[in-house]
Amino acid sequence: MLRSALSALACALPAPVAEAHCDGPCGVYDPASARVAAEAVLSMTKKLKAMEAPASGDAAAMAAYNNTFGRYVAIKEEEAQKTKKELLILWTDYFKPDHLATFPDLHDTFWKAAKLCSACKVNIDQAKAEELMAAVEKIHGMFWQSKGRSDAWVTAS
Amino acid sequence: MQPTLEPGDRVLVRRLGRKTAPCLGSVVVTWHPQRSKLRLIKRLSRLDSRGLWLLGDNPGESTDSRQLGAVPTNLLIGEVVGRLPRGKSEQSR
Repeated sequence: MLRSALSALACALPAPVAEAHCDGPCGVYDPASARVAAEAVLSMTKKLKAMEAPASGDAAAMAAYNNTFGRYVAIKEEEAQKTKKELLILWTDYFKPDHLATFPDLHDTFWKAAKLCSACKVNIDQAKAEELMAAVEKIHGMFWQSKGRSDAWVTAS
Repeated sequence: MQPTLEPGDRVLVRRLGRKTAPCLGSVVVTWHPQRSKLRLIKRLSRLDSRGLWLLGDNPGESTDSRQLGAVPTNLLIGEVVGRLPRGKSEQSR
């Protein structure tokens, strides 16, 4: 009796709320972060393709070339991984099972986009980087459609 | 935090000072690392130099250190020491 009276009293006292699912309140999702990273992948791929090796015998020029080439590859690698990570956050955290009714190809779209991120790392392939951009654009469309909006696809470069 | 906690459950939290570390495996309340006015309730899975590694008991639904990374220890509010009995009205919330 005392116990139930005490617990009734305790339950009536004001108490601050602690969230176990901060998914809702903190869920700031935006495919823009994947788009920026994918754009960087495409940009680095183009820069790498445009590089010209210096004449043999010029050690300093060769060192500079190798250094720049290495940096471009590292950035391409990093941004492709970032694109994949950002896509996986949208896929696994934002999209819910009921979205599959609207987008039956949701899993396939994300799976292929994630694979393109890997392909962009393995190769210096502008076509793959452009395919990745197209995949991110498709996901952008699905994402905003799921929110009942139709935000324009705008790129930085 | 299901099945340990249900939405609307009331818990008692023992505030912890800077010098007292919470027990691994206990349920803790912290401030959200990115949203200053949001309190989180999660299970403490690891404690290292980067801070508190928090995981929800319902991994399929939880947003926790898997996404947020380590939560700085200065954001710790306290450790849950008990849950108040669920009243009928609480259960239906």
